[in-house]
Amino acid sequence: MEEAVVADIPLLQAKDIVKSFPGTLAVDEVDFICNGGEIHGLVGENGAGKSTLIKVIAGVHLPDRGTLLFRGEQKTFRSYADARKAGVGVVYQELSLMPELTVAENISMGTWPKTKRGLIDWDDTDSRCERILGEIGVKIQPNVLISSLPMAQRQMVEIAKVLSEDPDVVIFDEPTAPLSKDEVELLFSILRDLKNGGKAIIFISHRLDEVLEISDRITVMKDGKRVVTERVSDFNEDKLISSMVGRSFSEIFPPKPPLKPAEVIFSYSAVLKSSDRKVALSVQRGEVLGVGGLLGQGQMELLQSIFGLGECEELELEVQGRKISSRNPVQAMKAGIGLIPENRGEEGVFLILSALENLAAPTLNRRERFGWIRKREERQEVSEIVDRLAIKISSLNQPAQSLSGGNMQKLVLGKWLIFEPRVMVMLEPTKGVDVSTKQQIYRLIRDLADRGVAVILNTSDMLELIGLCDRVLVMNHGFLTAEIQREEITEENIMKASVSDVDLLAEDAI
Amino acid sequence: MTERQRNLGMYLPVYAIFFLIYVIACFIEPSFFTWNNNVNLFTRITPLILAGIAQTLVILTGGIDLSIGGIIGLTNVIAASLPWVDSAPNIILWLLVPPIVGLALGLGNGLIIAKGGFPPLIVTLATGAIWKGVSLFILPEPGGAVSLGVARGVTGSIFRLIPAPLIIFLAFVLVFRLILRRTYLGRSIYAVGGNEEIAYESGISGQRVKIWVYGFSGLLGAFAGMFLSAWMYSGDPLVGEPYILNSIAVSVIAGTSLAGGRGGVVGIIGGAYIFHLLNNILNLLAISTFYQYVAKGLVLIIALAITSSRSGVNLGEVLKRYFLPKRYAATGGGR
Amino acid sequence: MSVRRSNTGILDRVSAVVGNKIILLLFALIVGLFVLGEIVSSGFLAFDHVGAVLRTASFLGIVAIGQTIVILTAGIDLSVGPLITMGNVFTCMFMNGLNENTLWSLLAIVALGALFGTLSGLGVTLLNISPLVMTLAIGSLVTGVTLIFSHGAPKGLASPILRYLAVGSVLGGIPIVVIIWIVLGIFIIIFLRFSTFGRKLYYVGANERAAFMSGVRVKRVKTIAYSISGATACLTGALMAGYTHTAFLGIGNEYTLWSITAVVIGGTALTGGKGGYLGTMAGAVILVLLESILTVMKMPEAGRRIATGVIILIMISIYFSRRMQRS
Repeated sequence: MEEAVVADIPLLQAKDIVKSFPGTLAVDEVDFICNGGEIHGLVGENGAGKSTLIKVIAGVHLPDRGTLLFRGEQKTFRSYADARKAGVGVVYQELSLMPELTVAENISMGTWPKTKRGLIDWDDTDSRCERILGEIGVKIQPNVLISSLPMAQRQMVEIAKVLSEDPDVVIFDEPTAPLSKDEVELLFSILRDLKNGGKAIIFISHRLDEVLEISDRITVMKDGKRVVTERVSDFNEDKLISSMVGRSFSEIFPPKPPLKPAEVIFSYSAVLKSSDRKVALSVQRGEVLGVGGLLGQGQMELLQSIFGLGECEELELEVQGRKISSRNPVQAMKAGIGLIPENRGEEGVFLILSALENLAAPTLNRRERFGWIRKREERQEVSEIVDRLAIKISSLNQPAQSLSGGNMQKLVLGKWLIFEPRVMVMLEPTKGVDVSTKQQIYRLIRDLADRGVAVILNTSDMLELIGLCDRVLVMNHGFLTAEIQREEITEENIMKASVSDVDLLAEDAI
Repeated sequence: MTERQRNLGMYLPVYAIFFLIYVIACFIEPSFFTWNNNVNLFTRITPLILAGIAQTLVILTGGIDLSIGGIIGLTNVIAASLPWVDSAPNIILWLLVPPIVGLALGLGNGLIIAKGGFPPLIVTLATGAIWKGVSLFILPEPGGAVSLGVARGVTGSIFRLIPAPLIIFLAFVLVFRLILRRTYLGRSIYAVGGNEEIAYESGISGQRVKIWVYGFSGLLGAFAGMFLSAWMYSGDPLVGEPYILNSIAVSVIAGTSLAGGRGGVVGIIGGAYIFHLLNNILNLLAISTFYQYVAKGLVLIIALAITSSRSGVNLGEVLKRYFLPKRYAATGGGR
Repeated sequence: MSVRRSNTGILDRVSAVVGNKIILLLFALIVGLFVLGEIVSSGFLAFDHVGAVLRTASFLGIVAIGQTIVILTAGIDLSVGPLITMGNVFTCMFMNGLNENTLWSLLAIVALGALFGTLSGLGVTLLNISPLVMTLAIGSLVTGVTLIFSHGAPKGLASPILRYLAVGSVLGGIPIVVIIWIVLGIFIIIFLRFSTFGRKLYYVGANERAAFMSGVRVKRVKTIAYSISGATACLTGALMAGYTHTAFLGIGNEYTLWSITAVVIGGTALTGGKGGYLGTMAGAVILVLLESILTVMKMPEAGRRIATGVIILIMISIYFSRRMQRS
């Protein structure tokens, strides 16, 4: 059921937008309307066209065809600057802040107020900063360096920077990725304030539960087309997903094997530096272990320490019954541990190198003979993985940077699959990945566990914890608060544990 | 961390080290503390400070200027080759021609780098070689002459009390400190060095900033060349060569990051002092001047080890990690 | 087994083509410059003269081996000039004109170079000092050491064997150094493409953090890179001693920046992870050819420098604008 066009002139209207790039039709005759005083959620797989659509609205791309109307007036944007003048603001995932400069300076970047003699008036800049931050209910000292702020606060500054130009349309592209649940609520209250102030808000996210919570209306895009636009009350998660992919929720996750006791193939215990508390876990053969909880509660430190990246004390690890030490990645890899990093662009992929070189990296030493690479073997192993994971490349020599997000993640996964780890640690394995690739990854994870690899993953996506994991450990404040099994893994239980203060490993805990 | 804290952390260590070396020098050789020696030091550090400011400006935008040696040499040679020595017209020419030449050469660098988009390392390397060649062409051997009035004026004292070089370098540092902290150009320099694209989105033209910055570098190089001509009382085509690397070293010691976007000019005085103090000490102790190279290298390494803090790991951290007791006892239990 | 096709193949094909084109461009340039030289002064293409040009290029080429390797890791080595001088001076001192000293002198020189290179590498990896300034500092140290141990007045002579290697020719006119260079060059090219260490250089240069997370011993790779650079620089200085018979202070000064230029002209990116030694070899020949043509045109030294600088600028602009057009 299509939403009827609102009676009076909408704040933002995009008509019949078409935008193509060499080889792809990114946006295919899309109509989009957003009114003032509305939060409009925009969802779709990677490659569905959402980013391109908003980039057209923000003037970053010039559409091949179609018109943009602001309050009924047609506008042509040749640059983001044009769009900003017309009242459009975008908060991207990659923030546009300079870490070496202060909050106040960033917010007024390029438009610093001047004194009568023509010098910059820093006092005025500071008070301007305080005012704008105050309008969104945030308190940060103006002369603090961005580099010393945590991600959530940086995002607030970014929002303030965008709002300082008083846009009528504010677009948020995946804003909740780095935020904890509390911080998301703060963001949402800001969004609601903006909405009540009459602004048109467009909210893009892969996190369907959040989209359902905050939006008034939701538009689903698929393969460049607008599939459906309805009021949020007409949507639920299943329906969203099926509009996005044409599959229903239960089909995304592979079935979990029946519960049966098995040997422990991995165990870990350590005292985390951030909390000074002891944490311990173990993984049985065949199970997928999830580590969840609110963002930033020590999960990263724990998981990274398994791979030798941490600084915790008394680290004790056992892989398949043997004690091992893991003080750096080289040692961890010797013990058969592999890690998929959270940030593939910075830590996982060699952008300027080829797909082959990327995939061959962790296993380079294995194919070495007297210091020389066995090229034929390398090519063979890499080709096999490319086929197995269905990585879309035209040749093994294709540079990694030309791949899509999902395919790049497959490169990261692939290189560790070749490695054949005994323990596979995964940090946000499906971040920035489209739904069909996600499905493949889930099947892969289950497959790994079936074959006796200890799989430990951290994800902030509740669906994944519930649908994929056999057991979930929840952390809060740097210690374990709960161990949830099988059928008990529900959103409610996870949430309760995420805010609990009970330390599972405390001596006086029962 | 606030900006003020960061800046203090940037130049306090430099001045601490400078102070330390100075005190050590005074202990080793009491004659170090004489007025004459200090005035001598003021004169020696002035051209290095000028070159250091020039290089800092360029490095802040993420670039580098390897042609500063050539520009100093060329302007130096020009300053010592002007006609009508010891007459008023000569002095006027001395005041006007080298700065204009330096500015032009610097702007040339800036245009090529900004408009062409070529890496500054190679461009300034090439232009530096060119200017060096031109200097050798104009004055194949050290020679030439400078008006006596100029020489006395630049290296003498004002009101018979305050040494001119002291005023000169203090003035330059203060002026450029002001420019960097309170003008649009100054803040744009930091912005462009931080992230040129983001700066562009805020209306800051990376191209314009870069052209200005290399222009200033050439201009400051010219002032250094002029100063040297007055001090040496002659011209030397290769006088600028040591300043290429020394100016980079001084900038880095003063806290400017080679990646751009971070740094300043306040620490340059301290950095220049550190350099020359070492030479001074060696001279006073009658140690062969050959050791100055070793000393310079070692001091540079030590200073960098202490102040270099990319990704937060530096000598300070390394020392802490190995010498402080373990911070975590086995708690095991709950609280 | 097949690899599925997709429409991102365009970018891939382009970059492959660009990669090959650079080498072709460079060799075309070499041929062109030789022809130009012949036009300017007949006899330029005479076997002897070509040999002389290539001999000079060998010296630059050998020191550029180390520079290429260091730049591949996204570093830079500004100490090669002083190291060449040190190699030059100490070779004469150690050998003292006697053949029996040749082997151990050469080994000692190369070891010294590797030692100072290792110091640079340690400063970069353990103390986190930027390579630009670290190698600068080590260079200053090396200059001091050279001056101190030679008392400012280099003595001694290169041994006759070394002189023969540096000055002599075989097969009717091919200088021995050139053969040494070509053999070394072929080895280095193969090494960079087919050895695990060579591959690790590219990993470190392309993304140091990702290399670390893939199990590459980044600190070790970088330190070894600087050691190699120090070793090749000192070796070059030693070979040059064979050419000049006695030592000269400051003989290596120009080579620091020349080696960097040769590497960059050869297609290796200063940001690391891309390029190789074949391009550097071509770059070295081009630079020496330029100098030679200008000398033959009887330009005074000042004019030569100016012209060389201008030509480098022009070449960089052609080179970079093509690159930028393609990407």
